[in-house]
Amino acid sequence: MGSLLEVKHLKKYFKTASGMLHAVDDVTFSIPEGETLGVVGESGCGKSTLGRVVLGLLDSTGGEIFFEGENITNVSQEQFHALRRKMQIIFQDPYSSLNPRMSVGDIIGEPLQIFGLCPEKEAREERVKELMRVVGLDQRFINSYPHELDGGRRQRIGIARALSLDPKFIVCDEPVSALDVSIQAQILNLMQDLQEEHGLTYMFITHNLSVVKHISDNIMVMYLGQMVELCSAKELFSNNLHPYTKALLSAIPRPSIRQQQQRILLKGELSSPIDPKPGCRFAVRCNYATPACFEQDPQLREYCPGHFVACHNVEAANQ
Amino acid sequence: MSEKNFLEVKDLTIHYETDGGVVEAVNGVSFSLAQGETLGLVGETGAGKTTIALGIMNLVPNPPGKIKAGEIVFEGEDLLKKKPKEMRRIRGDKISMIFQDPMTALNPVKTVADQISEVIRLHQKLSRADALRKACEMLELVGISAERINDYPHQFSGGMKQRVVIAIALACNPSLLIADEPTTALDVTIQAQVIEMMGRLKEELKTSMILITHDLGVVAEMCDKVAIMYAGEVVEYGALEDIYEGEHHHPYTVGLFGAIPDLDKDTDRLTPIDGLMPDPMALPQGCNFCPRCPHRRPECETLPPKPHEVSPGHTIRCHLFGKEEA
Amino acid sequence: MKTAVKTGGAAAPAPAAKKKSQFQEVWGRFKKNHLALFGMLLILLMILMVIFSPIIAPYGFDEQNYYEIFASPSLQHLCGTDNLGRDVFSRLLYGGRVSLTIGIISVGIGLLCGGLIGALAGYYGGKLDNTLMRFIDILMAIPSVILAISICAALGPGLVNTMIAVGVASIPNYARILRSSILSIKQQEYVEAARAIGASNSRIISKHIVPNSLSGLIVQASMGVGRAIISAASMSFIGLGIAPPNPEWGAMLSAGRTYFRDYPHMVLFPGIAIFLAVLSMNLIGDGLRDALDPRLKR
Repeated sequence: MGSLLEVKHLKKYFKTASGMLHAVDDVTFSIPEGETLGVVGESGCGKSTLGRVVLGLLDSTGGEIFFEGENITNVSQEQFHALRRKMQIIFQDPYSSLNPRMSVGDIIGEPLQIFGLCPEKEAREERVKELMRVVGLDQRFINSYPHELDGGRRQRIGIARALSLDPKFIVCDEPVSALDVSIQAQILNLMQDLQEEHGLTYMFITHNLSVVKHISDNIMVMYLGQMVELCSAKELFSNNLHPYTKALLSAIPRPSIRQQQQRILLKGELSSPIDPKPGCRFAVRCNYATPACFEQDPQLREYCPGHFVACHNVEAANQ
Repeated sequence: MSEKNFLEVKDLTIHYETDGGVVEAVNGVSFSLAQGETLGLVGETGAGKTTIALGIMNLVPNPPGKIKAGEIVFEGEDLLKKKPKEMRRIRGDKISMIFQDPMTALNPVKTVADQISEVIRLHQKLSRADALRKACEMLELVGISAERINDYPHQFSGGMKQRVVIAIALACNPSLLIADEPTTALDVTIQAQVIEMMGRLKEELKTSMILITHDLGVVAEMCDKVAIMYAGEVVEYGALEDIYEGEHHHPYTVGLFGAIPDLDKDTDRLTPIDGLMPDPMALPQGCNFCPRCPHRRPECETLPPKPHEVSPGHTIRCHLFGKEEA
Repeated sequence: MKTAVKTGGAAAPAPAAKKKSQFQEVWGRFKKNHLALFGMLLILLMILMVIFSPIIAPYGFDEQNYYEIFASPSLQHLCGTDNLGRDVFSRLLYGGRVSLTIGIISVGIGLLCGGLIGALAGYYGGKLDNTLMRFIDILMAIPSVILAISICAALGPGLVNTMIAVGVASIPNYARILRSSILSIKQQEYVEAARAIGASNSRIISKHIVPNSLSGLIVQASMGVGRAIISAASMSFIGLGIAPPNPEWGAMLSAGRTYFRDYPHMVLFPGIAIFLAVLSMNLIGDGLRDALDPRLKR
């Protein structure tokens, strides 16, 4: 009902020298129009890959993606091209995601040029200036080059470029991780404003839990390619169920000396999901693991309405 | 004084003189550190944190970097007056440093054993076998099994590599450890492990530490003293409690705390600090923070503020405080 | 919501500057590089002199004067005469027509073909990359002079064929260089960003990848001019290039070698001519590389 994007059992495997890397393994979710889904997880959990597969920048290995009710899984070149007007992406690194040899105006205007919107030069420049105003970039920068600007302004260019085609859905891949906190807050506010004004739907990928809590309606936690928990942002922080989510939340250093909470320290480190054996991928680090966890894949189930979790021992972990 | 504070940095000023102009990276920074204490240097990109660290190590790239003024008194001696050879003997032995990126801080073609024992043999007269034994001990100390001593860096994961870097830094039992964003490149759960380990080692080895970071959460867990830096100056300096609780704060400190999304509260909008860091080649005439400050007054634009002690050990560099003396 | 705080310096270009064309901008940056300008002036001067050689040259290129064999440089013969009594200066002027053309055109051929092959191989990768690169490997396995000689032998002697031969022999060089830099540029996020906004492959290659991977190629090409002149010389040395008595710098150089001990001027002046041509191309190449990169502004 009203879902702009629906993803069902999506899989993306990569062939590597040492075996099949299960970057995204059986992920199912949907995003209602105008809402934000936060995707959190640590490096190598497949969150960036997921974003790219959803956008069609990478082909999926299995599963289906529906956008506005239409199946867009592994579409043809032409359909892919047409989809670009509706789905866009904002990248993590404002330093490497802008071509250093193009001026700010050219970068923002390039999508317009590709799609033949505003064919006249003047009209295009007007539109570019309009976009710069929307994202809070001073117009005097129109002929500057990216390297002359700081990270915050560069990220605004990236946002303006994504907005130039008036998309409905934007994948935000760690858009603020490379920025300083004071600038990060500016960009987050801007993104929220834009969402309200343009009715945008976001898929917000990040490893920063405080940012994701701030901006998301729903949050999906991923671990080594699989989703472990999916629920509303509020629920995740007040009533989380999965042992990994608990450990992740407790690991965040809080900027306060009053409430240093009990930290759940995990054993070991992240491995990479190359030819994973059956069983829960988190089991080796989990404090509640039982023999069953090493044998059977935990199924995602709706523990309570709207709250999905994939764990064999939810009850034990929550006593 | 030197009994209590074994590191004392006074009025340190470091400039980078480039063709395009003079970058005033560090301007009159002072702080002190007692044995076993941890000082957090907090600030955003370009605040001059790393330059201070390099200054203490006497490693500011010259040219273009130049230490213009100040002293760095370490165990009663001014490091800035040391000859290069004497400094080399101190670096890695008494003062050592942990770098931000564990991926590039290790030499990929040498085994971990070689890299740890290298620093030991540089500073201590030990045989190869003894150095290796010491290296194994160090590895165990940071929580890696000594069996892996002959592995190469690429065989370790990110968090493990950072542990190896820490093992190298601690190998000669330094009295001062400078950690430049030691956990920024790590994942949260791994960061938690490393922080826990560093805290434990600090207790065990009684090492003093300067922790450079932009993460106020990490500071809250590890530091005794905090120096908030902005555009090459310490704008607020005090004990952990002063900075995180305290009554009076520098407007920048307030802004910094306000800009972080709070995990325990629901806020619809964040309160960012307006504007951007000033260009270090053209710092404002008065207070560096003045163009972004919500409380600016006429005098802020013309007169650089002086540090004012609002309570013992807690100084703030702002015109809002210390009117009566000025 | 955001106040435009004046930060001065680095982040504040001239307010509302008029948009300049790409060429104007590159030229504006090139102009500031005095060495590159000097190189450009030098090569222009050489080209002009070579074009007007019938007017400037005091003698014909094949005018023999047996009374003045091996004459040292003098006012009459600015660069002396050779073993047949021909005026070296005049021969240099006429020879420059051949040498500079060969130098520039054959580098152009190598650059174009090699660049195209390298760009396609680097960008598309996979089978295409494998096929193209094995072809390049075959070319590389043959020493470039021998390759040029065999091409020349197949096509027959002559100026055009020499240029083709020398150009083709240099293809592997350019292809390899461009391919490797494209492989690294391809990983950059802005290439993915271009894909995400719907840019076609040809647009991504021409607008995003190639401009960012040119610097190595430009340096290689500017040095290639000298190399091309020399390999053209070895071609004429074995009778496949320019047929004597037509002069050509490389050929003059190798002809003078025999007399180097007693009459060094026969080698010296063609050497200087080649040196100046290569120097000016290098200066222009360096200047161009910097001018094309907006990051090196100021």
